[in-house]
Amino acid sequence: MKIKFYVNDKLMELDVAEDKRLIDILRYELKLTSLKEGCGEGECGACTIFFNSKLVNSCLILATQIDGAKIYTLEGLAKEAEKIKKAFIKKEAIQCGFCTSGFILKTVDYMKSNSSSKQEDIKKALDGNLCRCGGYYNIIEAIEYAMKKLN
Amino acid sequence: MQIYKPKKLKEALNLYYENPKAYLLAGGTDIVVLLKKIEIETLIDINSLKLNYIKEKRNSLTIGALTTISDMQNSKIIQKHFPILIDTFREFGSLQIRNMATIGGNIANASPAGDLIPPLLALNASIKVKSINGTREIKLSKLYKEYKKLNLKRGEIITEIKIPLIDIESYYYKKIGKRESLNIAVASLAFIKTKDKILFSAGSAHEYPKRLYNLEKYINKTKKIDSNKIKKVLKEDINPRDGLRSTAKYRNRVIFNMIMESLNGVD
Repeated sequence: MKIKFYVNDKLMELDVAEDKRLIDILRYELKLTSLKEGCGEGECGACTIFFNSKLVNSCLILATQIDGAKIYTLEGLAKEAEKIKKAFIKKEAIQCGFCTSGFILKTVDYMKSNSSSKQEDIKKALDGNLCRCGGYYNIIEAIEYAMKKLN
Repeated sequence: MQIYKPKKLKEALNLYYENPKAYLLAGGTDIVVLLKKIEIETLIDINSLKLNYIKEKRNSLTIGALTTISDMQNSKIIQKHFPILIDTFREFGSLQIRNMATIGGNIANASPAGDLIPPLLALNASIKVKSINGTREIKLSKLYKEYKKLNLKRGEIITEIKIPLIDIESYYYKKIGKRESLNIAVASLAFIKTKDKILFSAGSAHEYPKRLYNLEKYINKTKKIDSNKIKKVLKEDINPRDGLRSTAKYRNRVIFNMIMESLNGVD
């Protein structure tokens, strides 16, 4: 099927199988590899992206659902994510980096509609994103730090 | 796999009647996972249908089947009238899942652990279904009679959920699981108290989600609650299984505990 959609403000026109997954279109067709496939079942959040302004698991979306959508990956949010990235580096919140894109996008989304930098509130917002290197504490501190610095 | 994407409801109903074994694609959070496990011959993507709405009527709330969990969570109408549902949404999947998953999909997937179903049953919800043969409204409680099957006629699509607006004096929802999010219920309980009666529904307690009619009958007519009688009556209502996540013994025990906890919040 032919699909027309926006990725990081660029118009894409592709002809793909209806059941091709968005995660594969982004990573293999468009070479946007910030997002990763951790589970392929919507449980880990490593493939998280913005889809019509909402955070979703790109491994759970098929080509047939993409027509007309506006998508952002971390590559397209350099400005919004700049200070968050710096906070992650400062607080050593990255080990293997596999989960990092997902957590940074989660943070961008959280900051859009939340002003609380309390750790309990940040923790609740991180549901749906897993880190297998066990980095949660540093990640939460990095987000707390980014929120305090940015607000 | 053959995939159709009807632009209008009439087209969708024709397609589904012609292909009764087809799967319907809404949010995709269940279907896309299923695709990895089984062979699906025909998929009908119904996302172009205009079924995403929440309307407050005089005696009821109507919700389009394609309304996402997030949209319902952010709805001031639902926050005002059904805080039990707000509690339920909070425990549903994860943010990323709630942004895609739909109320119609959760109902149609018919998992005995489906999060929204016990509270909707306790709220006496009904659904509107359409096929090329017309429209009908059925109580949600009549939809489930067997494991993972919907008691619907050929080609019927769920288009709307209707919840009667009633005065809820108190409510209780609890979901027991192995972790705090992305958590398939080991057991859950929904409890609603109105002026006249008490309604109960349990999740992951039986092959399909159901109301606890025998328990309700006992509680609604008795003045003093005997916990041993509750245990006895409960056996007539639920038959949990040993499964991947838990055992029948644990489920029976924790559902009883939740029932007692919900009743302790009431006189």
